[in-house]
Amino acid sequence: MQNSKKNPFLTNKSCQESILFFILSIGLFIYSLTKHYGVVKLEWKMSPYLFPALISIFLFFLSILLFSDGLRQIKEGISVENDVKVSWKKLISAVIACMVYIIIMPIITFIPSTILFIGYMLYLLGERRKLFIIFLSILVSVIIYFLFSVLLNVMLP
Amino acid sequence: MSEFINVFSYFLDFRYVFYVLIGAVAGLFVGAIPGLSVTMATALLVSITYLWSTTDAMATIMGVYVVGVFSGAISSILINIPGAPSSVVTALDGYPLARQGEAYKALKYATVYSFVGSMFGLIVLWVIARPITSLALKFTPMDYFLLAFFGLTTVGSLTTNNFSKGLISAMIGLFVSTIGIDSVMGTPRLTFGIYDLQAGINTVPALIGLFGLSEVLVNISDGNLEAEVSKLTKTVVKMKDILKHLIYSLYYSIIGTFVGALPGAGGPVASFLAYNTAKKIIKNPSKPFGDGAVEGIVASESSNNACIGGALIPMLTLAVPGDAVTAIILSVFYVHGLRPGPMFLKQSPEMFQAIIAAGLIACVFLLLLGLLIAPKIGKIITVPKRILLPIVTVLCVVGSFAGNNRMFDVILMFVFGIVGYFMRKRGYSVAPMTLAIVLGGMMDSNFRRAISLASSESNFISALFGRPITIVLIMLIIVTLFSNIPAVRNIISKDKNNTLN
Repeated sequence: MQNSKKNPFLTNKSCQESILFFILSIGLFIYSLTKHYGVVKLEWKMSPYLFPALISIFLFFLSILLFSDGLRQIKEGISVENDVKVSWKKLISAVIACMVYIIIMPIITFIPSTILFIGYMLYLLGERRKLFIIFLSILVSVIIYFLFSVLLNVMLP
Repeated sequence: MSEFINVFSYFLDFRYVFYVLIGAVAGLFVGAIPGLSVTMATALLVSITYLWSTTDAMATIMGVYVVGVFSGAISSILINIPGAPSSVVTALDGYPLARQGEAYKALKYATVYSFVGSMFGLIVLWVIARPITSLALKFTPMDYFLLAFFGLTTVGSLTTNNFSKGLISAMIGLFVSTIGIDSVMGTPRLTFGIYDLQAGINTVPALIGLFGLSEVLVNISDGNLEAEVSKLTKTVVKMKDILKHLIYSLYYSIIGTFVGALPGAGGPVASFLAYNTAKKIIKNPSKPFGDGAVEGIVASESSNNACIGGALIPMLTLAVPGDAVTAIILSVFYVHGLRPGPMFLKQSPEMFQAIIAAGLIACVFLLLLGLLIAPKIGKIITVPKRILLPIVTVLCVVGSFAGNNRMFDVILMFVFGIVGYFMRKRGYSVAPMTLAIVLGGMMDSNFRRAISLASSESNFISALFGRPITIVLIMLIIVTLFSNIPAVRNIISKDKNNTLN
């Protein structure tokens, strides 16, 4: 009931996205102009900011096109909802786990951090056999280390 | 004749054949396992093969590419989940056939006609690369810019239902490509004072993030972590019966090669077009289309594999990739100091021959692996994603770090993974962005070069747009842009309906 009272422009995804791209295009255009006239002081044809300025103009028109698409959806009563339900809890946990993995890897080195990461991710995604989690996370970390670092001479953190 | 001998001499080089085999086996599993894509595998391979010789790297990547595109059909047939986007159409008839207890027959048809399609595309590449190169030599900087722009508009229109979303994805890619030191004037731009951004956005971590990590995140958020396999019993399928469709398959291969050669279009588009053509030209299919017609599998697999050779044509002769995988292969070339384009065949004929040879060897492996191993990997392709996804994430981290040995690239991969996730969830294809990231630098420098050259001429406009190739390219872009405007689209579809009525 509450949803129906909300402004349709704010709930329509195309309208939301068009506003984001509109702001991005304006920001990029102002940045290009400021840098061109303030820092580079070259003719436009040689300016490094010519191409970003053109991109911003093109993006500006596309954002308007997207907004008009959103308006059409609102007018025709089309709802563009995604059927698949997002498991936000799992997703956010996985993203945080990735961040922590990237941060701790240079500190505690590759193998220990990878064991912890794989172990946690297996548990997060529904694996409940503890011995299996321990065994697999150690095995995969060692195999990847051996494969990349020893066999392929790829440097690891 | 000497080129012919050179290409086939690679067949006797066991080391080379072995590298193709490694790629082919990897491609078989990567393509077949839903959640892993050929594009993701190629992006990861780029980082692994940094230290390899170019020919070895190319052999492995061609193995992954050729066999990976085919093996998407395995999961389409056995579990109704396409392993690759280009195998979506194969599932329409492959899975119903498998449900009727004829999975083995479906796999055999898919294998044979993937082989036919791949061979056809590669032979076309071999034959017409030189004529196209001589045409490409006449291209001016403006033509290169317009050709790349045309590629972005076509990929924008073909990969999403919403044209503006496709183009927005391409614009974001172009924006990303402009970050770093400007190649013409040498001044930093859009770096916002971040020192590590001065070298620009490295394409490898960006691609790994967009295709690898984002796919992992989509799988986690959608929660689709299990799959059910069709039962596979070995049945006798006569080769004589399979080969009855050869002539039609060559027709679908022509469609596939042509669509593959269009910058930006690729396997999914080709297989849909070929499938629709099959529905029109085959009046009496073995079973109705959609209920297990082998003719549908023939159309889809011939065309999507023929795209491989087609996609390599613009990549090698014009340095404009035909699809996301060739965009990544292009970055392999750059990593190894090679410059694809009109001079490539003259300057590096041995590399061209090595690519053709690797493709042809991979076709042989496709046939062998498809007939012998594919029917047996049903169990492996259903490795639960709860096991697969953490491993893929670690590979994404390793792959993005390996190129330059810096954690900043891992952070970039992570950021692009998040961006890619939201793009996918909101209906923005990441393919236009990928292509734009790879092509952006070339477009920028060629555009400015074209403007500079034209400004010294007496008539600026005619110097810029007056040449026949330029006019053709502009017309193509205008037609693509206008035909995708919603109002124009509505008029076209109304006209079609009126004609039908």
